[in-house]
Amino acid sequence: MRYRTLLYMLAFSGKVLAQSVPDSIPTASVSKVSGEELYKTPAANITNTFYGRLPGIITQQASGEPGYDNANFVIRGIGTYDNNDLAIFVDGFQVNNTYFQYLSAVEIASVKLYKDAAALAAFGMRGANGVLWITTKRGRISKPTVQVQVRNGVQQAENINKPLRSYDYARLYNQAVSNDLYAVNNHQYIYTPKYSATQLDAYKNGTGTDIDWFDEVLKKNAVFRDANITFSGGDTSTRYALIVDYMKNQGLYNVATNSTTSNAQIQRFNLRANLDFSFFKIFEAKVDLGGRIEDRRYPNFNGPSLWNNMAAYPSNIYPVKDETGNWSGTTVYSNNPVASLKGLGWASTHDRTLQANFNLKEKLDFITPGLYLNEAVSFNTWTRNSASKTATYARYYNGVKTTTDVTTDIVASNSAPTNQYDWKQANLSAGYDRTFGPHAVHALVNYFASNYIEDWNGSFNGSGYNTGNNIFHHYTNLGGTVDYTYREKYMLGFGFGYSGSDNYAPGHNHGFYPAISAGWIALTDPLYLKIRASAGKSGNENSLQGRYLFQQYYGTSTAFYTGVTSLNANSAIVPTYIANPDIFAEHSMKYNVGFDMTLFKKLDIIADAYLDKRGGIVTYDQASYAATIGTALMFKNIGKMTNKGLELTMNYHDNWKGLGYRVGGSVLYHKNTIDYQAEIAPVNSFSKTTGRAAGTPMGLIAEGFYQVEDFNADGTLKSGLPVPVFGAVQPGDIKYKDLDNSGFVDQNDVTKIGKPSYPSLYYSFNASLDYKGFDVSILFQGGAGADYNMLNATTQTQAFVSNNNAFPMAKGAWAYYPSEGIDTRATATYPRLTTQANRNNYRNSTFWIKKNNYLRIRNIEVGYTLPEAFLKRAHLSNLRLFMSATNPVTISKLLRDYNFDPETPTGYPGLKSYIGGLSVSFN
Amino acid sequence: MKPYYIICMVLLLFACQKDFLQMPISNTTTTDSIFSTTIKAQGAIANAYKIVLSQGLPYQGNWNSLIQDNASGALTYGFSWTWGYGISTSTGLTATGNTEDMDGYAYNFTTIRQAYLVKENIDKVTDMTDADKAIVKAEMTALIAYRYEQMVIMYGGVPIVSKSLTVNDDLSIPRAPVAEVMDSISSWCDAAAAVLPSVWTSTWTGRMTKSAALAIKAKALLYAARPLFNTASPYLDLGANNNLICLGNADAGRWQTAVTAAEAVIKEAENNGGIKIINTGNPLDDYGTATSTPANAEIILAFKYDAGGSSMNTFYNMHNWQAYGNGLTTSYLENYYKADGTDQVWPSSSTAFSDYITRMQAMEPRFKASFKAWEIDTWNNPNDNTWANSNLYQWAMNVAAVPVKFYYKAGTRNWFEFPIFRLAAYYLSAAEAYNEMGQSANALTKLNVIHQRAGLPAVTETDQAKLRTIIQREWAAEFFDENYWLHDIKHWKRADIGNGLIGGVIRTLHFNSDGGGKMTGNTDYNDGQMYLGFWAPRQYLNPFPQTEINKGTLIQNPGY
Repeated sequence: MRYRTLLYMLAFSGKVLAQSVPDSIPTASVSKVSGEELYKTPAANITNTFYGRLPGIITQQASGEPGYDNANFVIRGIGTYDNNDLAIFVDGFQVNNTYFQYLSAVEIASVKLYKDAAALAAFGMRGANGVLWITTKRGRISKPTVQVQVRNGVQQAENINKPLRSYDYARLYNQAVSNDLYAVNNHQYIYTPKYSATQLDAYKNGTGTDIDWFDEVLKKNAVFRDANITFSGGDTSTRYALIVDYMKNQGLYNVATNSTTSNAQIQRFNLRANLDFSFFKIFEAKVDLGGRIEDRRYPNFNGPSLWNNMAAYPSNIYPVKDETGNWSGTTVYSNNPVASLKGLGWASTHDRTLQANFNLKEKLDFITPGLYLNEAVSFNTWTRNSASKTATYARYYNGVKTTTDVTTDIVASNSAPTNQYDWKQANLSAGYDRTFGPHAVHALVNYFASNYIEDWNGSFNGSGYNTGNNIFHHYTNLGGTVDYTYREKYMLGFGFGYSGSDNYAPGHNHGFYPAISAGWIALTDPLYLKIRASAGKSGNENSLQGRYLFQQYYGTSTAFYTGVTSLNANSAIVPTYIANPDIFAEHSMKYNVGFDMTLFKKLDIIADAYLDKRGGIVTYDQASYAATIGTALMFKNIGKMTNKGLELTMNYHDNWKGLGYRVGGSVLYHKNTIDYQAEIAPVNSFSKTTGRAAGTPMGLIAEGFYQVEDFNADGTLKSGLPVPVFGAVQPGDIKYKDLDNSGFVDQNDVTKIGKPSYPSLYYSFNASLDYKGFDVSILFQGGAGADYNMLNATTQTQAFVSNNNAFPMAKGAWAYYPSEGIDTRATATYPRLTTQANRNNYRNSTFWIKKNNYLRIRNIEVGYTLPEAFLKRAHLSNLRLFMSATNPVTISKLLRDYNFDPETPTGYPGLKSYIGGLSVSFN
Repeated sequence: MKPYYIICMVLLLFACQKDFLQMPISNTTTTDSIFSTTIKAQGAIANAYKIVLSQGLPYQGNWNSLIQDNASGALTYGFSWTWGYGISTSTGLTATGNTEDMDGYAYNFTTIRQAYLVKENIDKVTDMTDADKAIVKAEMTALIAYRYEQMVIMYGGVPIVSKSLTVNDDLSIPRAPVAEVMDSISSWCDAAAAVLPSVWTSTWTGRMTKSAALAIKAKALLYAARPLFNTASPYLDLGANNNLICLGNADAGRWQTAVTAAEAVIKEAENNGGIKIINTGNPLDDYGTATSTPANAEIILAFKYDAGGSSMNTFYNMHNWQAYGNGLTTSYLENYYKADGTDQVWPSSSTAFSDYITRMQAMEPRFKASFKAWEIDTWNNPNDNTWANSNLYQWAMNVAAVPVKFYYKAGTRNWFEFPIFRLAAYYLSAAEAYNEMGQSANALTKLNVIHQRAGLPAVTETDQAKLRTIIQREWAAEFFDENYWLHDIKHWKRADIGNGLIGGVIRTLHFNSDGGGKMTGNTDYNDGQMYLGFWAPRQYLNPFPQTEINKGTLIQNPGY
């Protein structure tokens, strides 16, 4: 049956209601955060409000570029080396990250994180990576209430690592070029500077060109502004929540937003109408409309490239404008960062999103008490249009035009559609809630069907063949949960998902995912203690290896020619991977034990220990076949991983003479191992990545630097020293350990050199006070147990290579020019400088791996709520003024030693903000 | 409403799922469609040609690509990041990375499988005549033979695959003895030659012909007769498995087989194939045309791929910096004669640069058609500014000259067609074989066709050993950069292979007190050591990758 028919049927069945999991599963591991909590962190992107607020989720900050500032989520660590994306649901329907990331915190009532098998069972093939379950605000029975909130403030870069200025750059460049002549100079270091003493003096006394590109391009403060109004209320028959939200977030660029130029900027307009109707005693209807417009504008130059240019362009290359008043530029440094902002015009995108849900519930107590049905549909659509006004500019250097570019007038382009998705979902449920005597039963069975189509390859349409433009992704799931409680003390739960996906071969595209759980409330008062345990299966159909791996495809390739004078191109068709008719979704077996404890109604403790055994991870099987098969190989469900960890959350709250206080914190520790990944056995077993955590950095063991004494007069290494095979080495180059004693340092000496980049220990703690209307709160969040590979920040680490700039760490370079009084042989912290690509020094090794532990103050908020007496006179129900600081302080060794931000070391930096605001309610 | 109604509804939905979960349809090619029509099948045929014939060539344009003469001591080893560097200077060939088979050992079987796929499925095509299908099958057979011929020269015995294998087949196919591989190649070539056309219409020129199939066989048989394989005691002992690296006995009769095969190529090519040795009495033009002009009269088979804008030519065309990793060594320069047939001498002590110009101008036409010397406008593109001294200069370096072969009168053509088989090779094959058989007169007849075409006076030497040296030198001068020399010197088991050819002191010309040759204003030059080459006897044959050996079926070549 086609999808349309399904909806048709749905419409005519005419009796239903929806939600694929019950409101709470007493035996499950679920954490929760309210929209109000998230609102405390003023951030444009909702993902950036999650740090430390939702136990069990690891939030990793990325770029702060307006409109492209999404943080990464991982639940309970890395479960698979395939796709770790979690599933996100808003009001019972799945959404993608595009939809989720610019929800306003004001729209959100609560966010729940489903973590264990008991909570995830009903999600079947989309549950293995955890589920983020978002509920938007609804009206309650009350007088009409209006809440107005306004926030206004500034954002600043958390940290910018600035390069060396002209003097230091030129001084060190002299070493680098001299070092490069070592072989030519008969294997001796002879000082042959490029910059003369006069030039160096000019740089020193400020008469030479010395541009700080970051200062030229950036300003200190960027605008953040957010205002929203919520109308809510209702009676027994009709309830409503109407929310309007406007947010404007500008970038750090020092350029006006007008008809010819533009700062980076996003403006977001959210409108939500959640309506509830009750009628004829048995019907409850919900209509939810969540609409949004996102308007983005940027300078007409790729953001990441601009940030790279600011870092990579040396200070002395040219002034911003040359003597003729034209933009400076050369063939090597062709994109003058200031001109990239001001000379190219701007580009914009216009996004329209709508999630429209309709939900009807029938309470069928007249048939049997506690029975209900629910039918729901969701239509979610997004389109993006792009438009621009662009120009080009001529590049000049010393009055001479250097490239073929010419200065043109600004030209407007039409607004054209560039991307879209469309997501239709339906949900049919039957539920039964009843308590009789000592027995309480909650049962819910749910059928879910989903049809997703998007224009380009995205997170749900995968990579590989037959994906992308207008290819749908169909998915169905029959899910159910049954909970039984006896005497409010003993609990048993059963859940299942029976899912089908069009990713797999017909007849082989369904999977069954059961889970069982149990709970026991051992104590109630004054000490409340509930012990929980669950075990069960879930799946992950969203593989990075592509969809339809059961189908044999042929790809096209470059042509072979025939013919004599006029050649005839015969384009080639190439068989791709071998189809695997049995390919299926990766599965997860999750085990969880935990307890919830409350002491004297003041101290809450939630603790969980979990084990996630993944199997059937879609993996390219390169290990099994001899070369004679002569083809791209097969993807198979053979990968295995184990992920385990502990979670602990504690909160304590009390009062003391009118002073309310609250302290709390949570910790997540996780550890994973790749058990099988079809790795071809390496020459030496210490080079294996199997048996280690996913993403473990592999490389050579560095052992300091080569010294002059290590070489013979002809430049060869003294006998007995292992010879590196990455090109000739010279004094000051990084020396590596020949782990297998082969006499050569090569790829066979590679082994584990550090830890993966995700923190294995993720924690947060918070405290708050309130007294007579004043409130103060602080939130800390930190990570530990991660390593950072500095080679990921090429521009900042590879000084001078390929016309690159140099950063302060290059000052520690090994150098030996006694004639110049330069001798850092004993103290060097960086290899000898070079202007050339150096495959020996700039390769993965322990030298470049640094510990990356950090602790940030994520949020400080100070507020004052006006006294009730005053409010009454002003006909208000609430008025609160507040000021907050986001990310004001970061403590990190990487930051202290190298000036690298621990989470966003390159590109557009993460942001800190200082905001003032007010919230008024009246009814 | 009754609960069972809901249950029925849910069940009904399930019944519908079968269609709902059907894969969406797109225009991606699947197995069902690939061999439906001639047009589509041609894509599979083209792919077979492309990947089979790519052997040993940097057709992918990878940054670390190797051209064979980087590893033969003829050219410098490339850059420190290219494959050639490690092979030539430090580790030599190794089972864990350094091999001349850049696409990887396994890729050989990808190419062979593609040919089998076409051969096995071409009958499914509905709009092709049976005669044409037979020809396609013969083409595929010849392609398989070509790839095996190239493999056996590199590796010795290799597993023989006789169909397109699937995951359900037994893939643990052991290495076949060298003799068996040679026999298979011969019989494949005979079978293909019986069906293939002698010439194709001009649209399809470049596909396998009868001459090409015979050429594959003749090349294989020449290597079978040469000393490396034609022996009872291989270069290193592999005990009971010696038959994987040699033929197991020394048999002078193999030279007769080789001669017969070479003569058969010459006969078929000249009588039926429209192929000839280009000789108009203008040596520079004749040799230049024969090596450079696409689809010229001397070509039996070419790798017709680069015209589409691949980056293969970046390693051959001196307008690209990548090609600047390939400078001529003195060791190889000395294989060329002066135009008068005598030897050129290069001074080992510092000499005025004008002497370099004089000596270079005196070189034979084949040298001038293949190289560009410092400060001299390219001889092979006379009066063409694109190829002028100033337009080819990249940076200063110490090499005797830089190669410009394959670009004779190329003008702005930046691509080229690599000549896999030129008829000249079979004249030299025959000359070499006749000499080994003691038939110096026959040898000289064949040799002089090539030698005199180059404008050089006829060779008259009849002493077998001396003539052998001359013939080997002729291979070098005639076939520079055509992927012969690296394997020739190994299969001849040249005594000096570790002492000046691949290993030992590799010499070059040094300029301006070792500062490197400049575009203009050079002052002095001398011949001297460039680098110490690595050689170990294990390198007569290439290693199989350790990861493949670890799978348990293959026996590694000795020394790795």
